[in-house]
Amino acid sequence: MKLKKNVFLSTIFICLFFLVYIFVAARPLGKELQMTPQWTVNISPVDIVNTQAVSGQLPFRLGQMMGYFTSDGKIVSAETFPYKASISSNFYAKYGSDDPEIPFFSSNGVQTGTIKSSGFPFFEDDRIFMFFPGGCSFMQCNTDGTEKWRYEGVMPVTAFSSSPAGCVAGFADGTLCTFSPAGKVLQQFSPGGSDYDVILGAAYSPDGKYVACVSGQNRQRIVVAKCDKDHCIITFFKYFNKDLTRQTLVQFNKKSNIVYYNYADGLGIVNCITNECKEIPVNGKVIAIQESEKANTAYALTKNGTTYSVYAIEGQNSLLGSFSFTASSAFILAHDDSLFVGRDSRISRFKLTRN
Amino acid sequence: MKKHTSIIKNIKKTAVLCSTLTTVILSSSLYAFDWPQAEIESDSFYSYFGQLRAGVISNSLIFHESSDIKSVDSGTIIALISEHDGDQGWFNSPLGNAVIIAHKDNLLTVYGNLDGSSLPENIEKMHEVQTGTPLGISGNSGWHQGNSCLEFQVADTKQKTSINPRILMPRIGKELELVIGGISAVNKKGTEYNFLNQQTLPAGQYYIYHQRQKTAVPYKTILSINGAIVETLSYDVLRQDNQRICVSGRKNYPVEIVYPDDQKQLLADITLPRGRVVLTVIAEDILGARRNVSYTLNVQ
Repeated sequence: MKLKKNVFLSTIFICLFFLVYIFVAARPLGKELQMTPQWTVNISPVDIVNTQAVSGQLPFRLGQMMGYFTSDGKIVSAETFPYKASISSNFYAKYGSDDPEIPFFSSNGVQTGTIKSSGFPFFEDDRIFMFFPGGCSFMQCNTDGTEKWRYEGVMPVTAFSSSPAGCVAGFADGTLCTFSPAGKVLQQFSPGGSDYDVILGAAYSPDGKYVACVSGQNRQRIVVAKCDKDHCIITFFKYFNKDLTRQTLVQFNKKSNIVYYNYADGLGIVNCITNECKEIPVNGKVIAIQESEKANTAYALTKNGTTYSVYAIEGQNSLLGSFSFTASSAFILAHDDSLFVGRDSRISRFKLTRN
Repeated sequence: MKKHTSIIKNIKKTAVLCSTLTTVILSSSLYAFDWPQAEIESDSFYSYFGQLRAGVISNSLIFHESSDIKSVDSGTIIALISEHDGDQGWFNSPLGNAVIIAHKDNLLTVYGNLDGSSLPENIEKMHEVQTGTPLGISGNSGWHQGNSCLEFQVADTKQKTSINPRILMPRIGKELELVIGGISAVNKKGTEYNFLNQQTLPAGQYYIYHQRQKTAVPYKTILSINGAIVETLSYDVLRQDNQRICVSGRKNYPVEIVYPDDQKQLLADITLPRGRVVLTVIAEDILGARRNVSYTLNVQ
């Protein structure tokens, strides 16, 4: 009788426990990311000269064609180029192997200025750089193409990127150098830590507080350093199991608290505040990282021969999924609530929603 | 007697063998580096180290015509620079496709303007290379003029200098002829005195220039006043000073001083004292052959 009573009480207790657990421990499931196809357009050459600026023009470059499109699927301009070209959201230019000067244009096709030097130009947003023959020297230009400041060196530039805070150049001797928008050398140091010093990828955070690089051979590593007034303090580093010899992507997010890097086996993500690092295996070389702040996701485009893959990453470190396609050239671009994927002669828009 | 002849023959054979071996060993040890491509005559390069090239002092030795490219010494591939033609957001190096190798003694060699499709299939997995390891074929992937092809550089990572590659490479054939002419002095105000028709000039500080040759670059220029050497500019290395590539003499001179325009090349930054001055200019090639010219000036 007593045993029956105990069993009954135990059953009641267990039922009550589960009942309470279901309500107390329950958390809402995360909303799933959905990529809904919106449109796909084919690109054919459209020369736009001296047209009125269309707001929100987005740049694209696919093979030997570049131009601008809008988020509703209109190809505003599309031009072919025989040799090389550089394009950003603000400027574009076509150039030859030894052009004595290079005219460049705004996104609406109006000539904005001329770089009166020979070399290879590089546009990032509204920033204009010119790399000089020999590959060791470069200058930053004003928006009319005149020289703002120049750096001449004797070591080949092996890594370069810019942000609103300035630019960073990595050199074949392992030196990393950050420059202010006015050309002042802010920090110069060699991360070292390897048998051979070389910088293969570098980035400067948009707020100017961090610099990061992939450096060295025979114990290659990612280094994140916090920039003080005159010097940098290494706040995070991690050695890799394998070394890359090719140039590699290093990029900060817009908030300057996360840095993405490509290493031999995949994509690494470092939180600059907590110094936590997450690594995600990817197929091939990472050629672009795009962020969608609205969807709180980042997207990595990788290339392995003619196979391109797009990886969706949630927050800082969760791989949500990926898809692959075959192409001879491709790009990705995140803007507002959309991800644009370019593939050979087509661009597609995917709307990013959470349901 | 027969035995004696045989011994002499053996001695002769050994001597010939020793002599050949010595020649081979000497020729291989005389130069630090081998050729980065098929050998060419000393006067046949497209462009020489120290030459003015698109507004910068060139630290490259540039070869004519496409050729198979190979490592000049054993070492470790530390970087591959690529054309990023299809990819948005990457800077394009004017070196195009390039291989950078680290060697002993803190030296780096750079092989630029390579044809992307000719790079060895496993180049990204190659780390250690030997003298003669194939690196592809020179092409037109980088900034280049005419039929210039391989862009070859040597850098010293310890001294932070760019080294004239020809110092370290074998040399064959005659050098390009150096021509010293068109000597002029330019004062700080920009007034120019051409010594051909103006031998009288006021005392003061001057840049002394000679007519720049389009291809040849002297290995060294020496300027003396009344027999005393006042400036020696050397094109064996290029240094970086205050974010500028410089030719070194008594001071480091950036491009706007060394090559103020397409026509002039710096010889010296000097102060001309009052009186009769004998100014002598010597240009020396890499083999030490010299050309010189003297002017007698009346400095007031």
